[in-house]
Amino acid sequence: MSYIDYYKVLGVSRSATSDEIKKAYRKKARKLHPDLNPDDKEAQRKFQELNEANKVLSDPEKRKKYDQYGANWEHAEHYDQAQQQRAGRRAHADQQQAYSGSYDEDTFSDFFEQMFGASARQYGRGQTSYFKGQDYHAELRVPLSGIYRDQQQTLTVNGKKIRLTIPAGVENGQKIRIKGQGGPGVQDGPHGDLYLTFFVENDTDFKREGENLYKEVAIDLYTAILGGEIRVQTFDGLVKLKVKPGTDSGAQVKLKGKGFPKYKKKGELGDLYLTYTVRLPKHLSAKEKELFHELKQLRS
Amino acid sequence: MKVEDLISTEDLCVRYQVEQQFIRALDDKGIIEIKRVEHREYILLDQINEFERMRRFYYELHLNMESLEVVRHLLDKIEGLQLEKQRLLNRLRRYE
Repeated sequence: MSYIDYYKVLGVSRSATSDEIKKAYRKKARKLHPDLNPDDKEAQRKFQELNEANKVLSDPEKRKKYDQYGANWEHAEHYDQAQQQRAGRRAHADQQQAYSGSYDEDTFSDFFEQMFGASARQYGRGQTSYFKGQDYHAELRVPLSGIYRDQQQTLTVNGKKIRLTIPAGVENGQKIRIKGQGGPGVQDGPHGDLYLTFFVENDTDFKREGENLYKEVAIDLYTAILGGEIRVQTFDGLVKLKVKPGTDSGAQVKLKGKGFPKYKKKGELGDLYLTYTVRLPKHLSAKEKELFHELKQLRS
Repeated sequence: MKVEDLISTEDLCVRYQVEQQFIRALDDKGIIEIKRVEHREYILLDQINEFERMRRFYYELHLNMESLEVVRHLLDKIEGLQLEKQRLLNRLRRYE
């Protein structure tokens, strides 16, 4: 856990007035607000840090404690003891401005938690009157082989079990919305939604581009020259394939409908592109070398 | 269209502490769409996210109505570019 310089976060001096702090907070919030920086985790992290800095520096009591113990936060409990000896604790009636938005408003640094405790989160919350429940955001890692078909999965999001069907053909980085699976609404308001971002990890020897699959297939020199039949593993099993005589290394063939499922288009599949690599025979015997020399002479 | 898919603008005003005028302005700009059913005004529940986002821009970040349109346009553009970037990254994975 490391010390956070809240003055630096807000870009104000240690002697800044409350008006200067408010102004600096607004200015930075406009730049870093998650609504203005979609899918930017760094901006979201900075925005949360900014909110935290504002919570502390715009509250005279917290600011005093922070100024006194900031870098020596380990000793901050002495401050609390001294405060408790005073007659009654002043209630925090100050209304602070805090921004709401599509981010987790309950995330605070360990430093903040240690110094001010979890109860401090409540102070300075935005005066947002929520109605629709909070949207949840989650990431899900799935293997490529697992999304060839629709897949039933049970997820636990914020302690709640959610059964969902992952549609076949989902793309890496794709975000899907699951309606009504976010936080509960307030006063009969609708539930929030769950946004799932998929990260597809390739556990196969196929390369994928959308609904098309690509694969390199090694063939021996003799099949490449004379043609022949090979067996190729596709996503749904082995297929027999005729190789034309005189097939070059790098030649490509398309197997129509043997690719990856098209997202939300049941029964429709992309194509599989095979690229041949001709494998040369290694460790030739004397007889083989002699025959290759003969061939060479025939060609020259 | 089912009634449960709608929320009255009066309710929105109360729950989010906004003025009717703000909701109408969003409708005028084509950001959300007000539906009129038996002399009452509603918006689709599906538009709540967008309504909330615009509310935050207007009331918390103090952007004016004209700025909302600009910001929205730019955010749509960012979203399009992010999708394009992801598509290109996925294509690049083929050559890794």
